[in-house]
Amino acid sequence: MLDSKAREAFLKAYDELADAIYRHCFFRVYSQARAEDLMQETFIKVWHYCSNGNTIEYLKAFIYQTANNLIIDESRKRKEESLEVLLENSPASEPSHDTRADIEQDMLVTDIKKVMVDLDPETQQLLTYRFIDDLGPREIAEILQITPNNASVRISRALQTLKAHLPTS
Amino acid sequence: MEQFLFKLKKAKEGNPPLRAEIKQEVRTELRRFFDKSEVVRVAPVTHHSIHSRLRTLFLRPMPIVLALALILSGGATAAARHAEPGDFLYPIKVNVIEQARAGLSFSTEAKAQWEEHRAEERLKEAAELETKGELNAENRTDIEGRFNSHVARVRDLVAELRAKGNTQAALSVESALEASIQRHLDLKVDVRAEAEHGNEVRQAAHELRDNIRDSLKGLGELRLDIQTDDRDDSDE
Repeated sequence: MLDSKAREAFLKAYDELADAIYRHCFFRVYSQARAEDLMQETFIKVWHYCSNGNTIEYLKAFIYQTANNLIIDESRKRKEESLEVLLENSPASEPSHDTRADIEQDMLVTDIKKVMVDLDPETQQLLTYRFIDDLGPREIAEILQITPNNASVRISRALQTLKAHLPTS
Repeated sequence: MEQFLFKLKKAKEGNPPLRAEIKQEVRTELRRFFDKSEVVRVAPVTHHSIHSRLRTLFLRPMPIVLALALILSGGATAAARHAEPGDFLYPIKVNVIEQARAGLSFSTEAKAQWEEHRAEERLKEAAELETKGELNAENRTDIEGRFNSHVARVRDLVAELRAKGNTQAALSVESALEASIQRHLDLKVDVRAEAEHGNEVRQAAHELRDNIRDSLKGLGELRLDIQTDDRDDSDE
């Protein structure tokens, strides 16, 4: 069982990272409710791992890894859904989307989704880490358990893949 | 590409944050889980203490995260996951583990998928009991009652999904349930085993099949309704 110090450290990590993990999940699954579910499940899984006496060197990296694994599991379950269906389930169907700003935001997210869902999962993951989570190559390297150099190379490749997918104007 | 990255940044900044009540709710559950984590130690079951442990479990309100520990922890919980009607741990499987898992889904779609899975699980249990020659009027009634309530819950959740305009998800859950039922009806009856098991098993198996055949009929009508919704949406 976790001692009180560890519990407080875990709750502190939760307070600091819950929003970021939720945002990361949102920009991977594009649904508020599913992102909330995934955020909750991430922390439960990490807690369970800690409470079993396992040690975690970089808690933040481990939390991101766990969230990513859950996202991949979820996307496997939903792989039968077509792109069209994914695009139809727009955030606009969720609560509090009635002001002009909300509508603009929904359109923006839908635009992003159109491009992102067409990319391979690794590219999506890297772009989200870099541009949504604002993580640097060092932090991304910790999550992916690779060297910072390798992380930089992969980010650069992800950008090339993105570029190739964007319509040429 | 610069334009896309700019959009990404803008979307990130403008996106609604995690709802404060959800953040608080999960935090409270985590804290409660820490405080009560000794209850989780119910996993290594010993026979002399099981009754008092179970009483404690059933009488307390089950916080989601605490219940999740039961799902994730080993020992009795792992055994309970494979329990069949009539087994000592079966009530843990259906009333605690599955119920807790149901509480872990916030979205209507996730809830509906889980209820569909539970309905399928009941049918698998029935098939297993039938194969072993252990299906009887009592466990058939138990399975049937639970199966019917899962189907009713799926129908409610499907109605919710339709009301929200999520026709594809409604159709996907409904079709999965229909497929599970059809799979059960398609199971080949082992004639020799049936003869060995005697009348009671045969009778129970046939009654169960009749019941689920009725459910299938009702679901078929529901599917047609949803498909009509879907077509109407496409026309618009």
